Amino acid sequence: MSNETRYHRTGSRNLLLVLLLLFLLASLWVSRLGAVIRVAAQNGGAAPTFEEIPPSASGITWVHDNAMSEQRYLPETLGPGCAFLDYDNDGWMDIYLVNYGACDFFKPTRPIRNALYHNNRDGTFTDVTEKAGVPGGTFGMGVAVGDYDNDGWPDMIVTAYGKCTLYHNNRNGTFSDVTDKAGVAAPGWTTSAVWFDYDNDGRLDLFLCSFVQYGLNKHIFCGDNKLGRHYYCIPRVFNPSSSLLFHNNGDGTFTETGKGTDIERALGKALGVVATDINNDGLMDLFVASDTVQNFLFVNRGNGKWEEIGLASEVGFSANGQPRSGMGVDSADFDGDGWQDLFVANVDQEMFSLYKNNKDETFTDVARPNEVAAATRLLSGWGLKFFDYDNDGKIDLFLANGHPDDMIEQYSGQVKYAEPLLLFRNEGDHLVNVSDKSGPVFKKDFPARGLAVGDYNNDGRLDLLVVNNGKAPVLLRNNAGKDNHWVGLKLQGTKCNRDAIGARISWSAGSATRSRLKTSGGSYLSAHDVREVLGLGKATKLDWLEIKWPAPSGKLERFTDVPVDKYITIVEGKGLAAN
Amino acid sequence: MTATTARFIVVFIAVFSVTLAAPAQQRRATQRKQPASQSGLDPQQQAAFNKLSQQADAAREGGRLDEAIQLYIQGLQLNPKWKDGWWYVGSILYDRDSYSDAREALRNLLGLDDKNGSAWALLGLCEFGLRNYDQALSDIQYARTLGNMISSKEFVNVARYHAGILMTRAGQFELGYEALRDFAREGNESPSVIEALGLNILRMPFLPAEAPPDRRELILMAGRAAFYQAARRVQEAERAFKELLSRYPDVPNVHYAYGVYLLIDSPDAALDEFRRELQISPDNVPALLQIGFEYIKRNDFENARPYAQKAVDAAPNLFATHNALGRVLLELGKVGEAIKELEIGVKQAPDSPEMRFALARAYARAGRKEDAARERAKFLELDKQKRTERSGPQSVGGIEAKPADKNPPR
Repeated sequence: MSNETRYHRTGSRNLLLVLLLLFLLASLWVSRLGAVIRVAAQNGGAAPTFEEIPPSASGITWVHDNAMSEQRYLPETLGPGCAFLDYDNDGWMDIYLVNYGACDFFKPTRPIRNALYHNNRDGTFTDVTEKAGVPGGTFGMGVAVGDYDNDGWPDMIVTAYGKCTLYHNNRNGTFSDVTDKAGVAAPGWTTSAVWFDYDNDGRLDLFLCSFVQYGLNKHIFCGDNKLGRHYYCIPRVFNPSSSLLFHNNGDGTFTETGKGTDIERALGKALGVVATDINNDGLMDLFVASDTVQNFLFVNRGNGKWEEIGLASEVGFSANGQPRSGMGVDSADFDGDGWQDLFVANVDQEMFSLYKNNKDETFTDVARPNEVAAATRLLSGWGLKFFDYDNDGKIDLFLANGHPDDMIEQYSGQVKYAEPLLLFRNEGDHLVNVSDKSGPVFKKDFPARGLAVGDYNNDGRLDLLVVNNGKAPVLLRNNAGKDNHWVGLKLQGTKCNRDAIGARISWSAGSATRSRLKTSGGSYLSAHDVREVLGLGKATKLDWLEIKWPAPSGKLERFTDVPVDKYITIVEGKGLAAN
Repeated sequence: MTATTARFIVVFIAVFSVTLAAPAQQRRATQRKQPASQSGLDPQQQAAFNKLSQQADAAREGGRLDEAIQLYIQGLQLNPKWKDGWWYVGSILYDRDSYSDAREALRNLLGLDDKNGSAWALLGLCEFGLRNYDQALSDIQYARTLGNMISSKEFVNVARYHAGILMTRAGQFELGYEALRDFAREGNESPSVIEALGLNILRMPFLPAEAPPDRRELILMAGRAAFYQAARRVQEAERAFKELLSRYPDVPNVHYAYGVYLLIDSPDAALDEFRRELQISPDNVPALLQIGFEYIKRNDFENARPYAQKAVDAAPNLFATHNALGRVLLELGKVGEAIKELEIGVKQAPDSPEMRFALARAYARAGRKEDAARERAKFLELDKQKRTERSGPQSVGGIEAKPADKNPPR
């Protein structure tokens, strides 16, 4: 064979490879285009409200391992959670996903870990877990994100069946495990967590939901019936436990301060928590969902005093006096009356509750007139969030569902293990179930658990991340409200906590004046974009914007020349920062 | 057992009996006052007692029960505070259907240890054998509340089964079903379970032994459907109910039972079945209440109201009817009328946590804060008690009365 021939053949081979590569790329593009065209066709030509972004497009290939065993150990079915966070402060939301790991009943046969995905700013993500040093290693449940040391870099607490982990952000793309040093090494079984400043000292404190007392020696086999199989026990058969409140000492350490208060005295089976202010007294309260025992509403009375008023406020039990299976929670002023309302998801037959604030520390369940009760009768809800998905200025609601028992279909004709997502649009005077009109993803079923809300492509429309038990996560791009305008706010506290949790944001645009409290937590096992997106509707400018910073300053600042359709940073006492 | 031995046992047990046929509650109160005490034997007596107890145990374990019982009695003569002795005497006599004597032995044991769940359960079974059914139910329920019965599954199941059939007989059908359904979930398909379930879902207040012979096929068919329902074998349950309905379409409570089965997955179809039941038995209170509560669940209080009102008219002495009507009136804004209904309900069922809860809400709406707080406190107390009885202490959450010392270890 001559050199020329050899060269020619090598050249042909290279050409073939290039052609093959081009063909593959073209196929992918056509396939993607085909999917887009199909979706668009199903939506009358427009892109769906929420569009499922496949792993091939996002680069998120991580899959949750649910460790499902013949014995059906209860922790297997409760996870996982997820977070939107900007861990490297580049202005783009990254993603953290929590996985299970070795514990007393589970020895992984292959390596499994949590995952941190860096946002490449082009709709794709890169797995940077190992480099960042956040692989987990416990039987992870959920994650809460907060800048507890006020250094401007988000830190994370990962809850677990076993021991939770506090990751301190090293400001260089890596984290350090400071759990023991910080004094937050809560054992047992922690689920949702929330960062908030309960004593208004300008530092974020930490609340950890504690589920049941559980362990290999406390495991109970349920359902050894004619089917000859075990199913996941209803938590009723396990002992309740007290959740934990940690005060931030300001030196990187924490002290448990729930002791001796109603927080310690409240024996629950806590799964969800949101920090909110139900009585507008400037002190953040806690609404905690509990499974098979009553929900708790801890009202912050100041000076470290907590009063649990779940029963008296009518959010502890169902309307006929039964505790339900509270899982996901959230809080927002959904009806725009200036008072924080509450939401809690339960299991099938119990229906979810939307609690309207009566402005006197009591609530009325208005799930029925808001289409929530009927839509959720057969569903079990976990991740959920109030947010304005179409930037019309009104607070909408998204619910992620899935039954905890994978065998449910063997003994129920209607209830399914994998369940649909639900979207409710705020029509001004009530919520309307618009799931059917919001894209093909709402026709699919998922074993959903955690849900995080965040704008990963910085287009001003809040996207969603749903994590599924034993499955891949689902990233949903928000295409709604493209004609509406918005302002994205990153609040930076200087005297108050850096994340400005507890700040009250008011604004006027067009003829509407609106207000929003910057709550913390909510959903289930998950953490959200720390930024607030204010929907302006058709208004092209913001007439004014007011920030009432939380204590200790409590300062009220008013701005009139705020740019729209972009993200801005407002620093307490210093005004708009150049982004 | 010889006649002499039997007479001796009766006399001996009677001498040491500490209680008479007082109601269980009263007996429990009396027995709690008795001090715990030591055996007080001298070394020689102690040695003799040890020997006797070992011989008794060996005889029992060897199946020589006549000999065992005599040895236990001799041991008890030496040491009447020997709890195991009384227990084995009671249980051997129970096994021999000597319920009256067994009952006395168990009463003696309870005089020494009134928190002994097994003894209360066996005492209840003795009462059952003696046909003192109300007393039997009371004792067995108390035993279940204590939650410390011996770990023999067979024994626990016997107690649970008897609780279930006694509750059915007492008209406590929902509670009876809860006690019986676990047999189905465990795959226990015995005829006694099927029959008990059949009587229960047909709301026939009989023990299986008392069931009308001409209704036996109906009861067994209903029981089979209820078994599949409880075992959550959906397709078989659906088939069994359809067969039952086609064979007995006009028998009271058949449509009601099917409606209850449908209520979880198909509430609209369930409402249709309850309405069919009302065509057969217009005053069927459970059907009226089911419809009323389903509408309440749907926040459809206007539609709930006539059914709740009719239920009150049909069963004015049943607290659940006042609960339904009171709650409906409250949600319709008729707070004063609601309070009136709910107060009647609380008077009729002061131990019902649901009644207390509903009344607390009504008082709160009326601005009667102290009354609301009182009813809430009562609700919490009763709810904890009932929940413990039904599902055990671990099923109870809420605010602990005493901090720190009771908190679970972390």
